[in-house]
Formats: sequence, C-alpha cells, structure tokens
Amino acid sequence: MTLRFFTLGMTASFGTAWLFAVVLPFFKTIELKPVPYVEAVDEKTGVYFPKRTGQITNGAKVYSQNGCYVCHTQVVRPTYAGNDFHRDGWAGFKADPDRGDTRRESNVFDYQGEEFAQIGLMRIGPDLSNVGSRMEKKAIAANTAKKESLGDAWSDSMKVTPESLLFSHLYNPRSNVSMRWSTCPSVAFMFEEPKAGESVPTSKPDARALVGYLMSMKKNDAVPASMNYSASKPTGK
Amino acid sequence: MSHDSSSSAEQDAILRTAIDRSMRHPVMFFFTSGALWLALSLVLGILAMAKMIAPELLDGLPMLTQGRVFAAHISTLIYGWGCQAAFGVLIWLVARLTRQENRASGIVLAAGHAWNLVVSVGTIAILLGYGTGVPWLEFPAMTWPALLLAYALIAIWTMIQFRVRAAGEVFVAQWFAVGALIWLPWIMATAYALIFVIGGNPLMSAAVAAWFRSGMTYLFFLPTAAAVAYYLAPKITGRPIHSYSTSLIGFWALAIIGPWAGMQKLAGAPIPYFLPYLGAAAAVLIGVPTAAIAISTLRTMCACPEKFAASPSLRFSAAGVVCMLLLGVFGVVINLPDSTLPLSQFSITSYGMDILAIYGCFSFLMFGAIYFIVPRVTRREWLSKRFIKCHFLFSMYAVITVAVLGVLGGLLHGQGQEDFKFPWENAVARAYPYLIATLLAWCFVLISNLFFFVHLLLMWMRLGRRSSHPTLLGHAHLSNPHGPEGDIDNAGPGSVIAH
Repeated sequence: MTLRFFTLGMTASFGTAWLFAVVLPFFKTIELKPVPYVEAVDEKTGVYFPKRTGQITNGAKVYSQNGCYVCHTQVVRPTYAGNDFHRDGWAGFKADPDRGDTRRESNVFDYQGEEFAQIGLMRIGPDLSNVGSRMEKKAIAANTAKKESLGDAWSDSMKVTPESLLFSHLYNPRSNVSMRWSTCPSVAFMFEEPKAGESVPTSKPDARALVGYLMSMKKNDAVPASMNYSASKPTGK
Repeated sequence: MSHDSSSSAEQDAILRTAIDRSMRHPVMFFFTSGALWLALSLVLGILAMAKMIAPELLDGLPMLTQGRVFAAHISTLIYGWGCQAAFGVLIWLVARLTRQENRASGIVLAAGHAWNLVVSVGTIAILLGYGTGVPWLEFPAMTWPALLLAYALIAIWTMIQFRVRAAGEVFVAQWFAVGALIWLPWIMATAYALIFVIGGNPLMSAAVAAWFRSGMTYLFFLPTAAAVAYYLAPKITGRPIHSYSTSLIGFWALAIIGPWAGMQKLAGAPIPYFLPYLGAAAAVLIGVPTAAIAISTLRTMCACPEKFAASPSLRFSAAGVVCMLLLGVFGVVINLPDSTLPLSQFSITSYGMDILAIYGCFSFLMFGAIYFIVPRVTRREWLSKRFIKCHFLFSMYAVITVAVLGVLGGLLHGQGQEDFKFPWENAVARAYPYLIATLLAWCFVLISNLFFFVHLLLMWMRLGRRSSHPTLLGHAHLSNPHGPEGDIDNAGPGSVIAH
C-alpha cells in the first residue's frame, strides 16, 4: 500500500461519512421550520411553532452540570423504536379529562431553547419528557384526596403545587413512601439549611431553575396531523 | 557473508536501542501518568456505581453527586488513561516501525505534561459542577482546543516520521497506528466545532456527540488496539501475519464502516430518520472488521502455543483480541433495529459495551504493549511474574463479569423497560443485580491495577531487574519466547548478537 493510496483511501472513507452523516445533516437542521396546519385534517389554519416558557437555559445547565442525563432520558420514541408511548404518563395521558388522548412522540420543537438535547444515556430513572404534566396530574390528585378527607377544614392555602412535589423529590427522592425504591441522588446542596419543622427547606436559585426547567417539560401539546404518527391520532384541536 | 549479516544485525540492535532511548522519557511518562489516571478513574467508577446502588452513600457533598462522579469517571478513563496509553504506544510503535529516533522527545514530554494538566483541570471542573453535560465531552468547552493543541505537539513528530520514512513496505500495524492518529483529531475537532462553537439544532448536537462516542471507540481505541495486536503477534511468535488479505479487509472495512456508526443511540429521536438506522447498520457491520482483525492476529498468535503460555505480552494481547471479537459479536447482537436496539438503547448495556471496548479490548492490548515496551525503554526487566499474573487474572475476571452480566444482563434490563404493563420500578429492579456485578468488576479491576501500577512505578524508577532474560510466566525456556529481538542487551548495544 503506497502512502498516496493510504491517504486518499482514508480521506475518502472517513470524509464521505463525515460529510453525509455528520456535517451536512448538522447544517441542514440548524433552522427550525414551522409546520403548517392542513385545514382538512387539522380543522384549523396557520402554523405550528410552539414556544417553551420557563427557565430553560439556566435549568438545562443545572441539569447538565449535575449529570441528570446519566440516568434520565428525554425522548419518547415512536412505537417502531420502542414502547415509550404506552408507558403511563411518559408520552402524555391516554385519558386526559380535558383533551382526551394527549399522547405523542417527541418532536423537534420539544428541545427549543436548549443548547444540547439531553437525550440521556441510560434509563435508571424514568423518562422526563412529560414530567411537568405528570407532576400537575399528581398535584391535582393529591389536592382532591386531601379536600375530600378534610371536608370543611380544607382551605386553598393547603394546596400542593406541582413545583413543591419536584422540590421535595430533589431534596430527598425517597421522602415519599411509594418512592422508597428510587436510587436517585439527592441534591440537598441546592437548598438552604432546614429550619425546625420544615420537611423541604428553602431552595437556592439552582434548584428553582432546575424545577422551572422540569416543569417546562409538558411535551404533549397537540401537533398537526402531518407530524403525528401516534397509534390513536387525536385531531389537532 | 556471515560477518556481513552479523554486522548489519549489530547495527540494527544499535538503532533499536537508540530509538528506545530517544523514547524513554515521553513513553514512560505517558504510561505511568496514564496508569495513575486509570486508578483514579476506577475509584470514581466504583463510587459512581456504589451510589447508583446505595444513593445515600456520601450524600450531601455536591462534588460527589452521582452524575458528576460518573462524568468524571468516564472522562478520566478516556482522556487520562485511554488517550495517554495510546499515545505512548503509538509514538513508540511508529518510531520502531519507521526505524527513526524521535528527535523531539522533549517537546513530546512537555506536551504530555500539558495534556495531563488540562485533564486535571477538566476533571476538577466536572466535580465542581462546571461540566458541559455532553457525554464523553464533559470537560468545559475551553479545554478542548488545549487538548487538541497538546495532541498536535505529541503526534506531529510521529506523522513526520511516517512521512519521511525510508521507502519500503508499510506494515499492517502501521496502517492502524497512523489511522488512529489521523482519526482522533478529526473526530474531536469536528465534535468540538459543531457542538461548542457553531451550535446547531440541540438534537443534532446530541447526534454528533453520540457519533463522537462511537468514533472514539471504533476509530481510535479499536485501531490502536489492532496496531498493537498486529505488531506484537508476529514479533513475539516470530511468524508472519497469518493472512495479509484478511488484515487488508479488516483495515479498510473499519475505515469505511466505522465513521457511519454511533447515531443509533438516537433511534426514535426527531432527527432525520436515516441517521440512526445507518448508524445501527454500521454498528452491526463493525462485526466484520473486528472479526477480520481478531482472526488474523489470533491465528498468528496461536501458531506458537509454547510462547503463548510464557509471554505476558502475548497473553494480554490474546485476551484483548478475544474481547475485540466479542465486541464485534455483541455489536451485532445489541444493535438490531426492531428487536434488540430498543432494548440496548437506554439500558445498562451501553455502559457494559463501553467497558468492554475501553477496558476489555483496548486496555488489555495496551497492557500487552506496556509489558513489551517498558523493559526496552528502561533497559530493565519486570520484577515479578506473580504481579503480572495477578494483574491478568483479576482483570480477566472483571472483564468476563462485565461482558456477560453488563452487556447481556442489560438486555434483560431493556426488556423490563419495554414491558409497559408493569410499573417502572420493575425495570429499575432488573438493572440492580447487574449494577452490583459491575461494581464488583470495577473493584477487581482496581485490585489488579494496584499490582500493575506499583510494578510500573518500580520500572519507571529503574528498579527493574538488570538481566538479559525477560520475565516470563511459565517455567524457564531454553529458547527465548520473545524471538531474536526479545533479549535486551544490557551489556551494551550489540552484545545480544553474542548469544
């Protein structure tokens, strides 16, 4: 093998893959294009271009710096690539009281505002694509149960917020009896010293950013039919 | 006639000694500091695994949060140990094969120190919470240009040696060595530029990071390991490479298939559909080059069973090549779309495969090379065959544990994840025993590396045996299992001819 042949071969073999599988797709996908609704199927006009709200940038940074991606993923795969769609609460809810079946797979708009999509390495913990929606549902359920048991003694100040559930998880992932099996590390260093009688102490800015980011993960909004491949197609109402 | 051949052999020996001497300091520096990083990485790995099993262990210290420790563990394993061991081996290998002294060993040594400094800064930054969160690229963004610069100063002299070598046959080992030296900066610079400098769609950045992980494994660690196997097998057995054409297939198949793999880790994520499935196809096809490399080197090694039993280098190399074969086979088993890819994508299989690639395949061959190179550059023999045996056995147990339990057990973990009718904690519970097994494996590796590190340190301090008989694992042999070049002429260059 001559040096010339070697160099040419190396450049051609690596360069082809480098160009077509890495560099070109990278530059082709930099700009996000809005997806138009088709009136006949979506029953509305205009374009789909959702905006995310919450402390995305700061929260994503805290998420990255503390290695949450080692055990948590953020992708709901289509059914041809895995069963994430069917797991309760991961893709959305099968029977949402207001919207019916809200389940859908991840789309490219779900990662807006982040520098790096934390797809994740392993699923030791659950997928977080819809952790915000799950916490909202959990908070509603907790409040309803409490209201029923307390009756007239209930006041709105006793309300559990979805955020408080997340703060409690971050401070001590095993505080809830039903979560004793969790192996999630505590990030108690993102909280102040606990005062007497406090189960979850005051949070520091990092914890608040992280919770803001996690609460922004409600990736079950209705999408145009043209990009909805779910088994049970909800219409884009 | 006989006088002629003896004098050319003498000159040969003088040249080899000169090359080894020119390489002594950089090579020994890379090996010893690499071994130290390996030990640190193992401690961090054990801690990370232990915290996955018992999350309340050492709780409350932000530095020791599981995610940060895991990132520091994998980064030190790759850049502290992996890259440095590879640099030491590659610069020595190319110098020997092109028959040239390294004239810039001072610069290489300085660049090696710079590399270590940057890795230290990066590791501390990760633990303090300044990591980037990009898997395998967790060091802060500004460290990557520094690493690339240090790499350039280490590798440029080797590339020059390859460029100006005397015309003649390019050995198989050399293709792989030079390939690895070219692929590494190309992959690293691409990932750095696309993810940290240009910054595109967050999903494509994640895809590039997945491609980078696979590229480091298949286009840097694997070819470096192959270079060692192709160098040591014929050198120690004294036989030619079993099949030249198989080696040729191995190299070009790797060069053509390797760069496409990696993005299968994003199967189902909203990136262009062809990328993850091309990645899966390539990851399956990697089985072809690994099989070709493994078969041609193993058959060369097996040609001399008696040397097989005696030579530590050969024993480590053979085990490494078997791991390479396994890596290829597992790559086929775990990357089949529609059947096993969904199971392996997010299960502990991926970590098992990383360990099998970096520790099983790559590190075993590096150990083989280190047991061969160090006596030559220090001109001392290894002190204890018992240390070498302990190193081998403990490492072997660990790799078998990881290969069987980590990789294949990970598929059961994946199955638990896919069983959506059962609660999520069932899937977590399935991973639990395999995480414990991985923890045990790392403990074994740590024990084995204590033997290795102490031994290497003694050699570095030039406290090795002054003898011209290599340290062998079996009983004393009449013939030297390291072949005619195996003896180290401690009585001065050329004295080996007198045998």
